[in-house]
Amino acid sequence: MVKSRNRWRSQESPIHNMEQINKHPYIFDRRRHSHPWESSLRKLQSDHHPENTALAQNWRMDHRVSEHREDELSISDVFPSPENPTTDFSRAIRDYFQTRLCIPAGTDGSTAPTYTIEANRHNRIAREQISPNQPLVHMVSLNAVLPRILHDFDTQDALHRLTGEYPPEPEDLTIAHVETIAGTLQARGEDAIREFAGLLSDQLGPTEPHWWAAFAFELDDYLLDDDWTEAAQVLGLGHLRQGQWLIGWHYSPELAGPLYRPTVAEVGLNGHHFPSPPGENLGITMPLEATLPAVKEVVHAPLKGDISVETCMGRLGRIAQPLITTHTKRQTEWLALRREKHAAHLHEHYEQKAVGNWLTRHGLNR
Amino acid sequence: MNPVELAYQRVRLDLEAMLQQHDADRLRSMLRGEGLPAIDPDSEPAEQIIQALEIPPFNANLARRLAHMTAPLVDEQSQAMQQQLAKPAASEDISYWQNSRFLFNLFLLAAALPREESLFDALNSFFEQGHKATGLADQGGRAALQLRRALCNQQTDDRLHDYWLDRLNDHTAKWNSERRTELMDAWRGLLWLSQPSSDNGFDPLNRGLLALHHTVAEQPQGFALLRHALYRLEQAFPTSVGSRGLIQLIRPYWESWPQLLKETASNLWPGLEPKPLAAMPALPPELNQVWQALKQEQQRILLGFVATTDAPGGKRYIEQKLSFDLPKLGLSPQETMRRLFDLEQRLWAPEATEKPKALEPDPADWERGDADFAPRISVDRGAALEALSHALVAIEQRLARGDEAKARRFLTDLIEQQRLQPQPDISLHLAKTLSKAAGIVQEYGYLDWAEQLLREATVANPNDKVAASGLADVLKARGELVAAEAQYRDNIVRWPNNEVAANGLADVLQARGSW
Repeated sequence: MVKSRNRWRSQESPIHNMEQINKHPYIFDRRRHSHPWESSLRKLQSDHHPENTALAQNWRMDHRVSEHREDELSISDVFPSPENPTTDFSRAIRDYFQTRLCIPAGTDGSTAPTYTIEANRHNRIAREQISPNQPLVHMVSLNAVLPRILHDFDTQDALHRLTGEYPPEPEDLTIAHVETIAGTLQARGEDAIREFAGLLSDQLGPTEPHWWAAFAFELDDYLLDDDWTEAAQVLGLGHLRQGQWLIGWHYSPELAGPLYRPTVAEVGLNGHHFPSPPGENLGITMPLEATLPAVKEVVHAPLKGDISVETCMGRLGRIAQPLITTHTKRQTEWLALRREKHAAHLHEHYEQKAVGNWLTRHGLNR
Repeated sequence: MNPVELAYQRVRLDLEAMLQQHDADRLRSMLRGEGLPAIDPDSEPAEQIIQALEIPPFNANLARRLAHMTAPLVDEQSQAMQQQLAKPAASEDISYWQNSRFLFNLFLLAAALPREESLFDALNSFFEQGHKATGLADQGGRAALQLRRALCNQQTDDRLHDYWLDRLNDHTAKWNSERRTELMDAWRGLLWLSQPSSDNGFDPLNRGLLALHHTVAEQPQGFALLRHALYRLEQAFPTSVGSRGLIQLIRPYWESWPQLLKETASNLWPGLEPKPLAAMPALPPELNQVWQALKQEQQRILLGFVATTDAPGGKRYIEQKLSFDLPKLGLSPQETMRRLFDLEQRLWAPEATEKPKALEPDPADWERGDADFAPRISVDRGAALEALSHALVAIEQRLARGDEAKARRFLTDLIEQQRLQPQPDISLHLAKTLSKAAGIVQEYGYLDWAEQLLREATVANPNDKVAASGLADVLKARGELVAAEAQYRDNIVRWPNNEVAANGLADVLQARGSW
């Protein structure tokens, strides 16, 4: 595992938030003289919590959110408006995620998740582009997802059948319980894990969030044994913690349906995301370690039912080591510096005016 | 939800019911457009079905079941074609294509569905029947084109590998936009078939690229076509920022690629070009001391990263390996570490790392010509080819504007210049240029001019199959059937396996009433 290092000590401290906001009053990479969100977004950006600062910066810089999509966000009734300019922006992001993305889209005329609607069509990846032989990988944290399904008696019965023990109530679930469930599933083998994947899919039902997926070719080397720490680092899953268990799926893009380039609107409250540069055709992860590759990623509808069972990797992995290694910096500084370093990496590889200007506009081209 | 979305929702419900009831008749009628909402007069029935399949929530099982149901429909068409072919040949008997709109929609749907073995079998069977009919692509129009795409997308095994390669290798096909589309489709066929990350998985793609190069290198728009093929490769198999994964896969093959292909690739992926070890930046005394203190094996590994411009790999090696096996400098570990990182900065400073990479070139730009493309072709041969390519494009542009006089003057100058080239095989190249020019002028209706150019080409190189074939075709097009027959017969004698000549002769004989 990568150890800490102090190579950044000599660099400048993270940007001063207010100075940057005043210099860069952008929303979705479009300059605004006044905007109903500005005050609320400004508050989020100057928040002491580093992830909130990053979140606000991402909403300012993501050029992939079109004006149409912005209109759709504005009329969703969760974001600040002229009538409610003080709405908490992080709460708005969370509410948008829950009420506009994790919604059952049915054939009964109900509304579809907003990343699939016409206003986001320009982010759809052409069907002819990606080979069906370039499989995708998606991962989910058992620790994050188990509390959401354990309230159901059927799930408890099914887990009892799979593991030999009844799981606790969601509010009583501890890391040790997850450890036991994961250990038992591992011991019972691939079929049990796949069956569990089907159970997850069924219980999460139609409100299961969209999947983020990267290409297996770039992740397989990090998934060889049970320690998936580096895979999580490559994917930029900074919201997860050491000790958590992950379940993974490995599947052809043709089973995923339409693929989309991710935007901040699909990210929710994850401050470890970094928008992809102008011109890039896919999403790009911000790895949690500078030495790991920034890989391409997409979002799509979750695989459900039999397909979820069939494509589950049949293995579990553990985040066995710390995801973020920083002994010399506080968390606040770490994230800001990681973002600066990632921006420099993007600038280095996409050394084009459009990318450089984009980073400069948002105070990240130094 | 707007009315259009609601309409697609209803189609989706209809599809679900149809699959539930195993109602293939319903699918057949839907593909004919029956019972579908009048959403958009330009929208094909299959497009509406695909749209309905893709509305949220996407259900891969539904798509799979539809693929399964589509297979017998293709089989039916295959059998119908077989029956048609079994009938005594009659002129203009192309009834197996008479239902071409239905076929087009059938293949369009098949191309959009997940791969299904039975569907691929059915498509392949239809395709093989089509081969027995003369001129599948000529007569089939867009249905034949869509069949090719359905075959590409539905491949569940490698039985079409040789076909794709053969299409890429065909040097006799007429050079026009249909041919360029066919080349790109064939390349996609190979791309969709391959699993480059598996052991030797890049081999078929390597063969395909070499074939494509051989076919297009000296054609107008050849550079742009090659570049587009490589761009499609990158899109089909996306890898991390800087395309590092792809570069690692390609590099062993790239070393032995022909110059033009090699340079086109390194233009797109600068990381392919190894930096000569001599290009290692000079080190100041302080860093030289660090370098000298490294073990020989450590120096060798670092030099490898420098040579391949693998900055992330080199940085990772220093930070994950050397940081825990510090060179002995007689300094504190912190100071030694600092110097090690200084060395890293020195070796992979921004100017020492990979060159900028172009983002999202227009996928269709290979049809636009090469005017805006400035590859770093350093060899004389590359420059000469590029100049030739530009000259032919210029001639074509003049013809497109109706300026025949200027086009003739340009071509005369081009031929004169080429005759003066001090190359030993100049007559071979001259024949190729004349053939290409003939293809261009023929497209603009100057058949007598095309004939003159092709006759000059056959004189310059009597062994040029393309020129001889082209001459026979032009004679046929001019209605000089006796001369055309003689030329085709001559070609068949010289190149007995030339199907184009055999087909051409058959056409001429038929036209002359000899059959």
